[in-house]
Amino acid sequence: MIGRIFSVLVIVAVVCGSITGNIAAVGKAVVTGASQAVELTLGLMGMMVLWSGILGVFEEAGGVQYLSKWLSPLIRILFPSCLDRSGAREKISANISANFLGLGNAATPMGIAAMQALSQGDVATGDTIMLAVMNTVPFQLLPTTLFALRSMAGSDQPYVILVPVWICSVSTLTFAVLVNKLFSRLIKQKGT
Amino acid sequence: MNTLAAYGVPVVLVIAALLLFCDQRPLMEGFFTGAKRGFSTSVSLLPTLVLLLCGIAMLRASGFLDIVAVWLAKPLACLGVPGELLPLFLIRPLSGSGSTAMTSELFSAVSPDSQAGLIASIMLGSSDTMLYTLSVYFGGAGIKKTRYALPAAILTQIFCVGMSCFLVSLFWD
Repeated sequence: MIGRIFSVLVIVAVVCGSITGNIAAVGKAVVTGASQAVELTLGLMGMMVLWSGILGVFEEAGGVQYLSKWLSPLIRILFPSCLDRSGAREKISANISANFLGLGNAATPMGIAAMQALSQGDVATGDTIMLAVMNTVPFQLLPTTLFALRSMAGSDQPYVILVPVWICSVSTLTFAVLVNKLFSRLIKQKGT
Repeated sequence: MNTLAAYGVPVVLVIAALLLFCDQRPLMEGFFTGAKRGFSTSVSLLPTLVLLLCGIAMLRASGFLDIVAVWLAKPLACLGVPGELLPLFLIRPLSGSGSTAMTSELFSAVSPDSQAGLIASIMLGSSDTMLYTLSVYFGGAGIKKTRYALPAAILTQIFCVGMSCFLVSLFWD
């Protein structure tokens, strides 16, 4: 994906630069782009280390297990057809909890395990689609990269977006659930 | 509303501090593990960021973005969306490091506390890389026919963008 995006950027830039007569500037931009990337990485590092460490504290304090327990009634409502067959429900709770604590590396394997437990053959079921779509807009307690980006860009209030992000996340997730429920009513699976 | 927003992070930090105070040793381990993870995440971003920021810098220098912004300024202004945000909206569902790069590029052009900067922040904080997530989740479970998953995910992303714009006008105007 990155490769393709890069190709499109470069080809469009060179073609457009030749037409507008900015081709010299396009060549120069390569240098600034590369050093910008290094500055960005160095600038992000401090904030990333701090906030990932704080999340590590919550993880070590048993955050994932605690959240999972708290989430299980909600999951019973969202995934009604999921009987406790092969522990799908626990896997879904663990997936959502890990996302909440920003543990992407832990959330993905648990999410895939939940998908495997929920799936029936190679056609997606309503439950598997619900889980996958919910994971495209995960609820995150602390958007660490975002904090880092904002403070690096010299924001006066790098954290001011936190509560709006929570509100946006919760309403987007609610919307995702409603869209899924609606689609699964409207578009019946063939043969069922 | 602004004061409420300002309390989010301090409250989270106080909870972490209390946890560390009550039960020091194993939790400090957690901090170090997490901190190392944060460090390696930022290091592993570097190669992709170099590639993408070069591409974006070239595109900006070529004048392409200005031309597109002029075309799209009017239709987007009707919807109340700043035109500078369009490249970010387009790259967000496709690439995670791409959107990090695009956001830092955007923040160098407009302030992160401007209307466009705030919309971008909220959108970035409440969505993930859609295409990657869908392919990893369905691929991992061996599901080939995804039925209405893609349209549902795209609708959700559009809702997220709309909600971000709405929240900025609600909290800041």
